[in-house]
Amino acid sequence: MTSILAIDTSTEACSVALYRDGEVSACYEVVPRRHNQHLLAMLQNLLPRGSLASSGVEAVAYGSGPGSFTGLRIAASAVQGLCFAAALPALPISTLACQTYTAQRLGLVYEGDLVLSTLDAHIGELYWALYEVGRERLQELTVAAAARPADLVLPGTRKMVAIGSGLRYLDAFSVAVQSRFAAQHGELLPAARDLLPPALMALREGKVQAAEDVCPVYVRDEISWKKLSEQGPQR
Amino acid sequence: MRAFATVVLIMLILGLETSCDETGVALYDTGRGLLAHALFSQVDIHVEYGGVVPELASRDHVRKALPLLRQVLDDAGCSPQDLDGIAYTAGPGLVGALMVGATLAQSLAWAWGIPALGVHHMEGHLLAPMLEEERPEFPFVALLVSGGHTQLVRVDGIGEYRLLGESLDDAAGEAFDKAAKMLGLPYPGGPHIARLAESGDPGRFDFPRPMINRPGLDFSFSGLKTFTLNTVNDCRRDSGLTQQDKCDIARAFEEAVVATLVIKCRRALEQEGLPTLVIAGGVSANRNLRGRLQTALAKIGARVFYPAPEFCTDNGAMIAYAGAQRLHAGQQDTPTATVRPRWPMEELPPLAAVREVC
Ligand SMILES: Nc1ncnc2c1ncn2[C@@H]1O[C@H](COP(=O)(O)OP(=O)(O)O)[C@@H](O)[C@H]1O
Ligand SMILES: [Mg+2]
Repeated sequence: MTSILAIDTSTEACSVALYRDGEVSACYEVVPRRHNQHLLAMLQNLLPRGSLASSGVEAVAYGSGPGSFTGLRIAASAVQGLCFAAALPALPISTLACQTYTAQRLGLVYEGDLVLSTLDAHIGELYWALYEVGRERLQELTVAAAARPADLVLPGTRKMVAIGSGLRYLDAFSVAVQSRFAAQHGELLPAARDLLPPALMALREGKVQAAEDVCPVYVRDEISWKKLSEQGPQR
Repeated sequence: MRAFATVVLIMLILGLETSCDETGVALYDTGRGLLAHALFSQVDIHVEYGGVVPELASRDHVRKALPLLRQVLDDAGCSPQDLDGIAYTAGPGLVGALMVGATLAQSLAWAWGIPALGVHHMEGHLLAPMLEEERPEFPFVALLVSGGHTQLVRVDGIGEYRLLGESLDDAAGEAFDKAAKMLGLPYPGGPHIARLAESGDPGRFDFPRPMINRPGLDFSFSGLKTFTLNTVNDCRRDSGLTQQDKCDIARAFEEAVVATLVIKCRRALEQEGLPTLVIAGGVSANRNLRGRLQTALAKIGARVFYPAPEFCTDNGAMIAYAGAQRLHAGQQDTPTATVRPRWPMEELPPLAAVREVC
């Protein structure tokens, strides 16, 4: 019997899911800026006894990023705590990949489709990655990156389905990029239950992390903060 | 339940501090005292920015918290099964940084099936002298002087606080940090100013002692800041800012801050009719301040208590201690507990009231 707990707090949505031998139970709520107040209550709902190991949970999957920095840290800190306390491995999964599985579950994309998965990175940028939906798994064609909408350049010439909150910048994409979209689903958000298919594969393949190594994948690593040498004279 | 209140229950409490730029973890046992503590200071990360960068602080807490936790469990020879509760800093502080410690603490507590409690950072500072062998007795007056706070508080017991006065503008530690920046010293500036001041000539500059001629117990340090900047600029214009100029300015600045703090502390003790002062927070590490308080208070028959140097600045031990007192009295987080970046200390429940309810 296989059992995985999954957590995603990378966007305005806060969601958790529990996989147990083919059965999935899940909670999903849109609670901007209040994830930390909902996460534990949701876990308590899914696992009323609180004890992860005695409930048979073998690993904890989490949306590792990109996404809201604070949101990513809430998931990462929660997973650190759960995995440390219950001596379980963690399974980091890309939020952009997760969202593509969400689209697949909702019947918005199908095997063979090319998918541009995006998230609003705020301050006028988006996160994006390109996937091809395979029979078993997603194939990641580009690594997750941050871009200004006007700077987005897509490899190849094939048409694709564009998904996610980064599409709010649609009008700012180049004509070349816009002309590649066969369909758009800007209202989509990743959900924890869609971490489960890639997490199951990762667990099978041993792609696990120790609690101490759980860390968000921020993608944007530079900080818009001036160093002393750039700050000018002190007033 | 009342009968239980007399049973002395020993509790082992884990404390987590992540409110700003230090990750602190400690284990406090209500019977045996502090068992272990570990701290990682992010000073080196923030130094090139001349101040704390909140996003970088939050990122580093995520990396450091668990390794420090493992370290204190090892150092104390404790296993997680021995723990009876987890205390974490819930505020005040940087929201993103607080969130890391709070989420980690709550998920650990949930998975271990033990209670968690969000602790007030300044209550932690205020109770830090209780970690020493020689502890102050309630009631006392506390001077909290850190990078974010300058407050005089009357303390009648845990959770029984009355604000007597506070800074109307910059905190004392903040003033130290800004003055240091003007002198081209690294962040955080307090210890650097103190070091330079040792070689400074106290007779060369006379800085104003803000607010000492006004009644009341409030502070103001922004005028002092301007005076410091003007003095720095004067020196620079005359002959370039020499090392001796810097030492003399540091000395005059420190003198002015210390004199102000000493006068107000003495005034507070006299006003409240109390013989005991507690000083805590980063600035309480200042040796000149400690020495001058001791002398000034001896004259009025009062005593000053302070934490060990390592517990003056942010640390996990003070959070474990404060949390242990409250968890021991039966207080714990509600399921929707969250962080409080701003949190007036007077909102804390008195320990006596907590015991009534539990
Ligand atoms: N020896 C000292 N003299 C004066 N100020 C000091 C000294 N040591 C530390 N500080 C000041 O203490 C502050 C840090 O204290 P801390 O309690 O960690 O503050 P906060 O939690 O508000 O950031 C800094 O402003 C620092 O400059
Ligand atoms: Mg502090």
